[in-house]
Amino acid sequence: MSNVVITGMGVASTAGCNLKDYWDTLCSGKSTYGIMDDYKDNPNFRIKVGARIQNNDWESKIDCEFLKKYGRASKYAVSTALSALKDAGVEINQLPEGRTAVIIGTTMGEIQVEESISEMSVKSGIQSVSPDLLNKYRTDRIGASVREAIGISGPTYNVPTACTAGNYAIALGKRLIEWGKADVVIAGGVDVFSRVAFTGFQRLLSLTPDLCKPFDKNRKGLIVGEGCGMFVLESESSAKARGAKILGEILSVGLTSDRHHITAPHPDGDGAIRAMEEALKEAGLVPSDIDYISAHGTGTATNDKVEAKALSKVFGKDRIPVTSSIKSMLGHAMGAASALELAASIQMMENDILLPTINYSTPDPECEIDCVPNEARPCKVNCIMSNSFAFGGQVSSLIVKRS
Amino acid sequence: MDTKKVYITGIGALVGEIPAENGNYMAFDSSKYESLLEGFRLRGVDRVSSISLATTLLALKDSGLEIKKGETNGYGLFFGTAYGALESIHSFDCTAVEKGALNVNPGLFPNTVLNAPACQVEIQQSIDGPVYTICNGSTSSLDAIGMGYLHVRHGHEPAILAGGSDEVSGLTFRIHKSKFPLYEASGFVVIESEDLANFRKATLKAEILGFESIEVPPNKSDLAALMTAQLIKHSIDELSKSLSDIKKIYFCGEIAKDTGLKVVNILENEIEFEVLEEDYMGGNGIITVSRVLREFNSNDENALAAIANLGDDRISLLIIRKIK
Repeated sequence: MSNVVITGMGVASTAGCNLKDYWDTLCSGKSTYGIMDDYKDNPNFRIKVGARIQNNDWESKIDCEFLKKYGRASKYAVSTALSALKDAGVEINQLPEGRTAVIIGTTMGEIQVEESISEMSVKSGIQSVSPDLLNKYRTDRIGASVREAIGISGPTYNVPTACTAGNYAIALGKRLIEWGKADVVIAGGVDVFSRVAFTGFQRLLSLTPDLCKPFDKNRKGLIVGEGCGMFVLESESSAKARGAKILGEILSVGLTSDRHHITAPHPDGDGAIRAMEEALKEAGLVPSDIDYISAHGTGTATNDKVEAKALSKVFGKDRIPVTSSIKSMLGHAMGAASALELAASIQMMENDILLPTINYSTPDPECEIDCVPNEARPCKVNCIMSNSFAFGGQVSSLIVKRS
Repeated sequence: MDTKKVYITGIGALVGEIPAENGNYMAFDSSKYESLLEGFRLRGVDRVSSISLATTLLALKDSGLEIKKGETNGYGLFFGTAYGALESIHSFDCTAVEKGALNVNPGLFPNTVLNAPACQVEIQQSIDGPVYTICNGSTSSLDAIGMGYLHVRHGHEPAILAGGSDEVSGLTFRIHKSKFPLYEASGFVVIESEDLANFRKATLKAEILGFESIEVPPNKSDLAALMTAQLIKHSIDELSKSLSDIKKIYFCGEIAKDTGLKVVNILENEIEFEVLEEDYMGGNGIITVSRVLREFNSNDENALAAIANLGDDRISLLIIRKIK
């Protein structure tokens, strides 16, 4: 069975739309969210803080003409997929016809298209919505946009699996290569800022009014965000044959379900524990082999407590690896979160620096972990575990090692 | 990597049977599934999730596979849908737009994520393994079955519920371009490894032998028939079989009518084929599988059936051997 490696990655995020800016921003411990002008004076929203990409550098990477028929999530996906291919040193005409897979994870898909449709529907009736706008909505348009951008046929899967979508997409990409169904996989996660999500989380009282404080005793909730992270996966032998730079090897994936509640995690961390144990077992590793954990770490009271409990069960209370949450800086990019976290984790391995959990001031006895509080920390990192937990109890754990 | 034989041991499916009020499509008959849901706590669970739960119940009952709540089996769920919970999303958002964000029902927010129907089934059926939602347009449920097959074949999970659902809403109807009469549809198969099926002495309905899927970029869309034929030929070669072993090809999907005959002509074999002239949206694949299991018969126990789901820009192919 082929080892599967990552040879390229691209990001579009509130921390930057290229890998250098992304790393520099996160390494400096900078928060990338704030009060949103269009919500600031809206009495229907008590929460005003969100994370939205202001920098439009990502647009410069794409030919906008054909993208007119796609929504914003598709545009993010195309831009970062092309960046990832460039990072991998792969020209589009080198991609194998029929064997280049595209796998896109997302939570809400082209939700901004739906939001425009809703606004028009309420104002003037559904019949007022143009066919061009309607045609942009369906989730499979996102995979189709990347497919059209590269012009090469192959398997395509759009896998909306909520906040764990990036990991689920990468997991499927790994499997397609192992099964011999694809030679190159472009996989990752994307979500645009969603008014629907912002509205819903506000009503569930899950949003913080100011700062995201994962694992802090006084944490108040999450920040709704957006972004995209995409990766180029291929077999190790193929990567070495073309002299590619290998960013990391995907050792294993653990995918499970809590089977508990549509919004709340299992109180004992059942799915999370099994996912981590599955990932360790598939990788042939023991807990002490993990140098760093990229936490789901949303900053909600429940998630962080359950996550810490699950980590304690898997690794042992006093042996939990260093664990940080970059959601403290990015907010929660939904379906893109796990992909952005993987990109950051790979950069941590490249630079031997651990990214911090910022806004941390008061330890929580129910979250006794070393969360790299507030400042990045030099540290040799060879093997990382990246965890994501989603609405509906979908759980993923990915292990990647330095190559 | 060791591979395993993979069997379908159960199936449950429902399609629209009642003309919708506007007469534009066939809607589910609620009397066919509501009684199945007695005893389940479904407050706040939307229609597409409820129907999906009903058809998974039918599939599990048909297969005899028992999932005990709280036990860890490693079974997965692969849920294909073109539109998912679009009705719930749109309804929630219109309320927010019209009445203000503070007036939405928070209990309905969980229905607005695209994987909500799959997760509702996962929770109600106590599925502890991976739960994938696959949104691949008209090939969604066949792709879900194909992915489920590959996961079981390669030993990742011992059993998977795979299939999908699509309902029609006001917005779905405006987005969807249907070339055939439109039906709501929901269905799932139980896919098991040979080991598990033998262990519990399950009745084997069919063996899944192969799955392939390819998306064709717009600059190559005129090659759909050729690519479908190549996919069929490739799949048959991989199985060390010949085209004459395929007794019938079932074509479904948006371009099935135009492309089916072209495909058979390219293959240059006298293969019987049928074009399904109903549109089940993302449910095309599972409903066609259901039809194959009901109707496909051959005296040759090695006779194969191929299901070719031809979307606007995608070709998915499943090869099965029906077991008497």
